[in-house]
Amino acid sequence: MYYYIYDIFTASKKYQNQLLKIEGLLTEFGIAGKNFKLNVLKNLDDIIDQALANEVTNIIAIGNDQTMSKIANLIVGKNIVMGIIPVGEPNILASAFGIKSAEEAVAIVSARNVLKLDVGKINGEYFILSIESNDGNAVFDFKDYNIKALPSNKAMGVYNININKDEFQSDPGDGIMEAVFKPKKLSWFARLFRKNSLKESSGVSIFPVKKMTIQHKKKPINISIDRQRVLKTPLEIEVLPKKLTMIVGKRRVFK
Amino acid sequence: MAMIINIWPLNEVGMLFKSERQKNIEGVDTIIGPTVSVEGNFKGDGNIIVEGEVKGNLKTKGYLKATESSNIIANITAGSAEIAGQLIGNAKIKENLDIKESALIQGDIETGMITVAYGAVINGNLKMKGGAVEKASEVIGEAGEEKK
Repeated sequence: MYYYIYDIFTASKKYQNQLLKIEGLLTEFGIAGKNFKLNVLKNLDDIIDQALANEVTNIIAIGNDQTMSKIANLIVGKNIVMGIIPVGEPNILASAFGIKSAEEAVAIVSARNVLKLDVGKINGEYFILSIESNDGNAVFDFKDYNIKALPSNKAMGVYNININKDEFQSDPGDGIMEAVFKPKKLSWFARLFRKNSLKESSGVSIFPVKKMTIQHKKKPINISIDRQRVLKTPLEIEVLPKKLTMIVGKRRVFK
Repeated sequence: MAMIINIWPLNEVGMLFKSERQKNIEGVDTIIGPTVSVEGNFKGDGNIIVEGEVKGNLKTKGYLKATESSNIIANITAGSAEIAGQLIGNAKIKENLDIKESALIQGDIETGMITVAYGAVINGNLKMKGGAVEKASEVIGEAGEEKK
């Protein structure tokens, strides 16, 4: 049994043709189910509770990254498989899971290739992709040691899935996330006088993470969660291994 | 190019175009890059590359590579190690220690085996396991045989 949860914004006229097409495809693939169209009166928590009570095992988000995050935050650790049919923007999460369009998503939901993924817990909320900041005042505190960025550092983050696939890969099924520090780009002149040992180096730092705290040097700093929302430091982060079951496509950015 | 693809599996073709760094970081759990400073007791089980600053203690059961740009003010313990940067502190290396010509070490070293490149600077005591004791017993043995 499938529950399809349509985000509020999909009620807009501009998405109606696309939704009709999606519904047609769902019927064609034989995976049509119960549709829930969110509005100010219809609470997402109630729908999830109803799904659990009715032992519904598949919940498909129809919407964008925010839609998926809202639903994922409610089903982490529960016996529910989640899928996404991307409608609207942005769709970084769907893209990371190998879903490039709504039409492709229907075929992927139908194939139901399921993976158990790690989830990051941050001050009681959850994240799927990463948390990021470019504020040099962040301090990554690992209890026994801490990491501070030097002035030559540009950005830092903790990654469950690295959507850029640059310099490092994160495996969202290994129970470990990667704390990463990325350097500023050097001018050609600075590169010329670089030490030999750094000529082949991208200068990226990588530390395995299971649990840590992000502190700040002076004032609290903003940390971007899954490139959608912002939280202020201090933030406690913990990896919850394999707590979210997702339907994924073959073209996902991780193994 | 088509020939290459026919001969090698796709993942290995990718390897042909990987930079030295990408090849180096495979199997590495931690990279302490040149834009960070690590302070405290860093403990790892896997392989570690240090290109930046470390202050405190650095321990791993695996391989430690401290590049030319590394600045370690810490006591280090590792399974094996290659040091090409500055180390102020003691090093306890279970198996092989490879000291490169750019290395500057101020501290005592305890290791199973050691290679020191021409130009490396070491100020401290060196202690190696086994060798000296075995040699001494051989001399005694030979002397004993002569008496007979």
